[in-house]
Amino acid sequence: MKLDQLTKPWEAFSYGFLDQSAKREMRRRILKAIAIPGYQVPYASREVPIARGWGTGGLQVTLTLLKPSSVVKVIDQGADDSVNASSIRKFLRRVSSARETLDTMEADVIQSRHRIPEEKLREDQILVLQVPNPEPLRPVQPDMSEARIMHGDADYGQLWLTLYEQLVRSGRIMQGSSYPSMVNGRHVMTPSPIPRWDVPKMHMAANLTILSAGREKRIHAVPPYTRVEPLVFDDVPYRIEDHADKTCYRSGVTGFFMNELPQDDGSSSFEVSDSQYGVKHIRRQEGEPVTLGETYYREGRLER
Amino acid sequence: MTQTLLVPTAEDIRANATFDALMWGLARPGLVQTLAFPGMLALAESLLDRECTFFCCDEALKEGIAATGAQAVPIAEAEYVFISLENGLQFSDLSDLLVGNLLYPDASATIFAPAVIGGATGSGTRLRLSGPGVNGSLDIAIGGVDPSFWALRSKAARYPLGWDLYLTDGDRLVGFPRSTEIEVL
Repeated sequence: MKLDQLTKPWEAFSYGFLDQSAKREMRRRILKAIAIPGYQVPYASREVPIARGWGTGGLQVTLTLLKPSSVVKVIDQGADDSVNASSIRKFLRRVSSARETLDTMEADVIQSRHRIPEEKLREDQILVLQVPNPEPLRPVQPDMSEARIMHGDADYGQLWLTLYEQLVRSGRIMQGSSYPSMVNGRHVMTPSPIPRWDVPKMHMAANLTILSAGREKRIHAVPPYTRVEPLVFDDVPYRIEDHADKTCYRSGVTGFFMNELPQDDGSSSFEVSDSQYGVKHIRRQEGEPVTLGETYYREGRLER
Repeated sequence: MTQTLLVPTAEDIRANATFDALMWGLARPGLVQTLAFPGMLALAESLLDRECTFFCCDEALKEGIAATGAQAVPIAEAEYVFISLENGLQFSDLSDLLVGNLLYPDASATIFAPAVIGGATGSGTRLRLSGPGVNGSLDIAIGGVDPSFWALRSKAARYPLGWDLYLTDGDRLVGFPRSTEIEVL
């Protein structure tokens, strides 16, 4: 092995921003994550030009996946137009020549913070979720070495206990997001801070989901057609947010996950959280030819 | 404002396309993926570098893989194993393969082997796959792999421990992650 075999001519930037060795690390770890659904694979998380905690984990996965022919969508809490989402999207475009889109149905790769789109993802689509805390056991076991042993033993009794305590104290499960979910009957994962509304969308989904935590340097995945079951007691059914009867004040759609907007008079109005889905409805009402995809929920109820 | 967009080099294109096949191979076990750049070496180049260990019985291929900077080691220590599964005699080695441990099930081997991929009705050992990535169940026929291999795999793979397998046939590739249950028909 000689030095010149390991080096390349100088270039200002690598394609996809990450250098080859960073991408190979991502590739190797993504493959392990897919092979063991729900297991958190440690990886060498690199520096990217945004601060840790702003989506660096998801960004590294997306950068590894993109090709010039890819179409990429970036969502932040359901919205395509937040500063975080549009900055990431613009960056992805510059370093990969991939095409940007806001439409869920057009995208090959969807990088998302805290939401899964309302329109059903297909078998050829990849959802990349940004994860702040990949360890579902952290609230009950802050020592990550101990938590690793608990995952190895599939020892999730303490998670059940926290859920039970929430029931006893409050009469219902208070866990609003990051609802701990059993993947493929073996590893409990956090589905990232998506609302309870979105967790059932992962169960036996057609798309591949990759969840990546850049700060915590862990990556986990849910392959297509994989069981994702929120931890629930037999006699206390899983409850999604009560948004079935809420109507978006801008687009008029009913039965999807809503953002609540407090009004001056103390009441609330609602707007659909998946912003582009709302926009598509408005465009359609104005007579533009818009294709609306099939949705996971219909009239506020999960389609199965 | 005009933007300069980065475009991929030939190496980027090769590695990206190859990884696409590898990723969907594991995400959709038993579904045949097309390799835009066939050959074991292209697979190795998209994944391996100085961080990795490998084992390879083919001398020519071994030299090519070593050029990535990966370290050649005995089969029992190798993370990436390039072998032939045609001959059952070699299988005593396979029981030594890294399967990871319960703390780190990812500290395990990935096997790359040539085979004859026959689809649902082709010749060879007929397999029925189920598990993550398989919608219901899927039948596939695999030739060029000693039939006793599949029993050895089910013995070695105690989920989440085990190793992952890729079979290639020219420009075709199928993946069998450890999570896939394989029934020999």
